[in-house]
Amino acid sequence: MSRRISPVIPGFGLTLGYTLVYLSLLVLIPLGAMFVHAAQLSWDQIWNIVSAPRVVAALKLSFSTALCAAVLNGVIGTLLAWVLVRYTFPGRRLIDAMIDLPFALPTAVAGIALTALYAPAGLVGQFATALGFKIAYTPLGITLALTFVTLPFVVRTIQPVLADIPREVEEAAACLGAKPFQIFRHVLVPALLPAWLTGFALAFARGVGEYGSVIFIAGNMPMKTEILPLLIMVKLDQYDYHGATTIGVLMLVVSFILLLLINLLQRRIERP
Amino acid sequence: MSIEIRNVTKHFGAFRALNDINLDIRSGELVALLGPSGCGKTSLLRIIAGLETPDTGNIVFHGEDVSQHDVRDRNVGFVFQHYALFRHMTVFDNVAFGLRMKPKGERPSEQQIAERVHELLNMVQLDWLADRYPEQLSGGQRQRIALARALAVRPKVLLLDEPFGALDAKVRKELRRWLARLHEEINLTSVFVTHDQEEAMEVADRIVVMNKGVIEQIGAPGEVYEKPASDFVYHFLGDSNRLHLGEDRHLLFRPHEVSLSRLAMEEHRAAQVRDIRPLGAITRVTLKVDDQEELIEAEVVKDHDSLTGLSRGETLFFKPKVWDPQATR
Amino acid sequence: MTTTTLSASAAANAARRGSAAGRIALITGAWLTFALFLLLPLYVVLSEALKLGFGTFFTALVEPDAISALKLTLLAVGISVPLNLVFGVAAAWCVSKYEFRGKSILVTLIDLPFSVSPVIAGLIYVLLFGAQGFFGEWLQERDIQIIFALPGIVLATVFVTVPFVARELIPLMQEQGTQEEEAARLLGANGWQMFWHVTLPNIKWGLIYGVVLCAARAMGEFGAVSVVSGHIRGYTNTLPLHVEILYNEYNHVAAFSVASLLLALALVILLLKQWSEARLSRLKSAGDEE
Repeated sequence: MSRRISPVIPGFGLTLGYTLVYLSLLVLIPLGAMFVHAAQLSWDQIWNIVSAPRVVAALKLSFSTALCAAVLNGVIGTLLAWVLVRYTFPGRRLIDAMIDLPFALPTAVAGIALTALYAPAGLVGQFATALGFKIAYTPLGITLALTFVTLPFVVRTIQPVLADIPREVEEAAACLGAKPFQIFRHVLVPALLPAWLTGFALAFARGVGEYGSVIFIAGNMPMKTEILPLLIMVKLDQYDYHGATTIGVLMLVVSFILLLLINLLQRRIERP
Repeated sequence: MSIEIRNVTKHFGAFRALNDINLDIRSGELVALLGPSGCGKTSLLRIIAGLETPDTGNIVFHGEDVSQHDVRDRNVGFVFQHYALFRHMTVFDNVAFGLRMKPKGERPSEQQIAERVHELLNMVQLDWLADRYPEQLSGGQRQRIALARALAVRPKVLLLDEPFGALDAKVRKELRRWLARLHEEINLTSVFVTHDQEEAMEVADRIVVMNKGVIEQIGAPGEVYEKPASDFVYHFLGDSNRLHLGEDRHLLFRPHEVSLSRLAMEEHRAAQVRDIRPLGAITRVTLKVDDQEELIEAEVVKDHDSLTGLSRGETLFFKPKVWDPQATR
Repeated sequence: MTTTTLSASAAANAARRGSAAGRIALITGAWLTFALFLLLPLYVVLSEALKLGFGTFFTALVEPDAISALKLTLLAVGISVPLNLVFGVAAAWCVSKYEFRGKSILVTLIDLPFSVSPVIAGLIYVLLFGAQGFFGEWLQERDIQIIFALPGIVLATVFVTVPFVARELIPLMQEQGTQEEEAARLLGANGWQMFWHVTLPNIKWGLIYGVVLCAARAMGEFGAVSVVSGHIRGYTNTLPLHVEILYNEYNHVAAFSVASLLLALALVILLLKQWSEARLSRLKSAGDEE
């Protein structure tokens, strides 16, 4: 039965009004102010800021490391979700509870911990040093930090979907003669893909914007390991509000387009 | 307390749920709103309760127009299809809720509330469940608690939305007899919604058959069954056969309203036996008549003469018993 | 989101499923990932903090700057969580109990802060209230300081935590529907009675869950607060910023000591979350039986 605005449940005007005012004051108007600020600049000014080599390098770095981290999470997250849903084993509940640690742990703490771990003399970093490469202060370190902070996204979006896939579907496929890989390919992948993409998109969006966990491990070398959010910070410290705003708008627009594309892809998968 | 429904119309977006409904419910009566899903019966019940506002029309309780009254002031008891028991409250607290919500001046003391709650729990024979939570009850128990909760505030009208819909077949039969007896005891004007014609026939004093937002017929159970006002009512109230008579005319008759014979007889038509199903006291024979695809079902007592040694493929002669020219259209 | 209720069926099926070798390989993989990605960072924080013994560890925690940072963090959490709690309930109420045009856009807007970089969250308030900002002059004339002061820190924290409570409540309240509220109204409850006696107890665990997540993020927010704080020691430094300053001064032991305090709080939050989630899933499974 469809329910419109019910005459007996009070508070529609009050709650909707409050929600709109609160969102407008805290989120929409401030975000709008950034776009208004950017709109005062001429196209030449904007192009000069955006095409500066340092900005281009940061743009490439931020989006490529976020993409790598999201892909890496797509694999690790699927593995973890699968194992947590399908198997019982010692420590399962502990792992399940701790998956959310990256969300609960302040990013700055994650940042210094990962730096200590992956620095050339660190607990893990020393092995890399012995093999002749560096993890911290390189894009690899940035990717690892982003993978850490976005780890829960893919696991937590896939887990409920995986748990909800009726056992009968796989059994039916097996009865029809499908081999385990075929079941995985034709039954599980299509069912999981939309949730997987959601988790991927969330991880990616968070990765592009992430600041706290990255700045410690990145080394922050202009042109090499300087991420976009840090560049905004640098511009702000130099009182370059035009530069900071333009980069901010650029980040939002590029992220928005990418999320839109992922959303479209998702719709195509759900409704072939 | 009587209920009058005057020219009620209700739309949900472009969908017309109710179209100019008029209905009088007498004081103390138990009325069933019967119809298929989407016919508007639940919307009508919710409008009577005040949970939904009609686009046009009025609801009159005992001569007083309550259309503009808030749901709290209508004083109706309502039992939801899935009971809507407060899941975080015990059975006792659920039943006591309405009494505790009364304004300070009218609110009974906790002791009076306890007495009233136990009186009601005794009436629904579930006093021993007072400290349980809804999730610990069976469907039938939840249903009775929902009823006790609705009656606690001494409503002037009792409304029930598919009261037996969520129960399994055996509990459903027990409960509907119990409800009919309870109604006789407390004699409260009651309206219930159902899509099950057997339920309506067994419980209600009068049945309101609805379809596509309009009332098709109002009458006592025997009346709507014996004298259906339309083909829809005829079909909805029981199994039926349609025998084509040519020129767009057909005859409707129920499976038990048929005479069967092994030999050709006057007015009887020949048919081929497709299936024979013994169903206990009666046996159902499925027949195929020439010139129509629709099969005919006939139900006769199990030791009927025509059945002796009958097997599939044989020819049988039948004649609808009620040759009612009214039913021919 | 919990999987605890699934363990029994998962166990039964695990027995039937595939080769034992594959299973063991996958479980080992999960354990290795867990140890490498989640346990090792925890170990590092604690071992670095205690490198010079407990004495130095505690000194770093009771130092005046650390105490004032802790106070500021608690204050920011204490203001932003109640604000977003009330917002979350109001937003979830209108989104889940009614149908209206533009609802899906509203839900998207509620989630918007999740996809905005924290640095941008700080930046937008600087553009509004900073010395060069839209309201900069107006505020300066009246001697009101928002940026590089407590209001800015609170605003930035509120921004990044706007969606948490609403996001937990919306699906929960949509699932619960409106029937219990309607029943309460029919039984004579007024709007507030309905809310206090029926709605609130039903959403209690989801609310706690959302508040826990909201508090965690508010406590740990770094990027947004970093932009608006100005890093004034003992005045506008929150705990995460204090960690950064200590770290950048090469005072690693002190940095990790304060970090381990935040880590302990994070673990408490995980416990609270686990607990409220378990209650929530029990509530849901009870509801499913109906």
